[in-house]
Amino acid sequence: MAASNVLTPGLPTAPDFDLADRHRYGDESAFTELYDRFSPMVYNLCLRLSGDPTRAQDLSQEVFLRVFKGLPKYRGGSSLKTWIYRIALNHCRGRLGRRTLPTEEFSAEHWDRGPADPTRGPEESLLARDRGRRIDAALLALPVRFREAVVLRDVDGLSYQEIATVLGVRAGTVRSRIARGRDRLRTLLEAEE
Amino acid sequence: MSTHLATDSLSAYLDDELQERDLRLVEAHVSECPDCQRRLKGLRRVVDDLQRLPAAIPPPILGRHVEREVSERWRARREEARRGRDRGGFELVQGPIRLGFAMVACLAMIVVLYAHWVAREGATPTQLVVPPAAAVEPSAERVEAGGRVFVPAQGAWWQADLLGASEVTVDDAATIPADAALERAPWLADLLARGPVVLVLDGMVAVVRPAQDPLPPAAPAPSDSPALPSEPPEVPRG
Repeated sequence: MAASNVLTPGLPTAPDFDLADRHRYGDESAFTELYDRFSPMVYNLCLRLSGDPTRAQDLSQEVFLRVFKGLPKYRGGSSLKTWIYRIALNHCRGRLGRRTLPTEEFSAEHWDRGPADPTRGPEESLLARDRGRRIDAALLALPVRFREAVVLRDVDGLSYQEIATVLGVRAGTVRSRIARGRDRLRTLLEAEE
Repeated sequence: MSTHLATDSLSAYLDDELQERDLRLVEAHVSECPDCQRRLKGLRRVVDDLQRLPAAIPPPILGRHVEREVSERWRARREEARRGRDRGGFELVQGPIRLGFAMVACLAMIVVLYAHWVAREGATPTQLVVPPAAAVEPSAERVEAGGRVFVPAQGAWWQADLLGASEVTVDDAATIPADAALERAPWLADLLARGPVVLVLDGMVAVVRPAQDPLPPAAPAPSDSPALPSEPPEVPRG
């Protein structure tokens, strides 16, 4: 990610405004840059929330079309990253609702296809994959509100304040949801061991 | 230890989100409480595992689909802009201003239509008060023209058989210029030379005024011919 505001996370940066302005005035390359910059972030969020790569692809495409439509109205109330996260999250909520997710299938396929970690030996890699598969499955078993908070914090690395902006809740609520989500994951994983 | 730390505190401790004072309290407690040590260790492991989850790479087909959809939208925008230029940039006028233009245009149209209606339909018909037959002196001159008999009353020559009708309503259109009346009834010429004439012409009651109306008083009437009053017939507007 090229544009993160180091001094004040969550606030828009000059490149954010620049990108939005160029798009507003018809510079088609601006949206291409935006896609290159944010597509991994959006796709991973959709994947973690849906648990289905095909579904994540459809959701991501719809999110970017919403971003395309809404970008001329972006006024910099938050960083572009936070703004796009919010669109993606709201879109996923609307499309996914509370339906049951294909946890096991996704997790097994995802980890079997994933790249091997060159810093680990074969046995260690196998254990790491097994652990990763189990944590993915446990993550998808969390209630949506806890899963959103944990993914945004521990997978995507957003600050508490950024998560509060994305979710539209107070920082105290974010802290509580993250803690409860992590604790449930801990309980789920320890029960399996 | 009889009490344990809340999960919120342990989780926030891992994120370095505690105030200095709370941080020290948590560290002091955890150093002496095996149960909280175990929970903190478990939470730390969860966080480490989550942070190590490999990031999925968006499939190339996603980029192609987005690019195709976005290209289509750009094309539509360009087309819309081109149509806007062809319309003289009217699309640049904002919605409320457009609405204002439309309202003013409608209002102007309503005013024009109303004016037209008033000009055509709204005119008050002329009401001609027909004198009673008794108003004509028995000795008054009777002039025969065009096979009809005319008698003088109220400053005009009246077709005799009109007298006695209580009231006759005559449109403005029934006031016929002398030229037009003479084309249809040339026999009126002598009578018109003596003053306005009220008669039935083409099935309508018509008032025909001489070209130089109001006429000067009729020529001195012969002793057996009453002079016409100088005033034209009363034609009040209702």
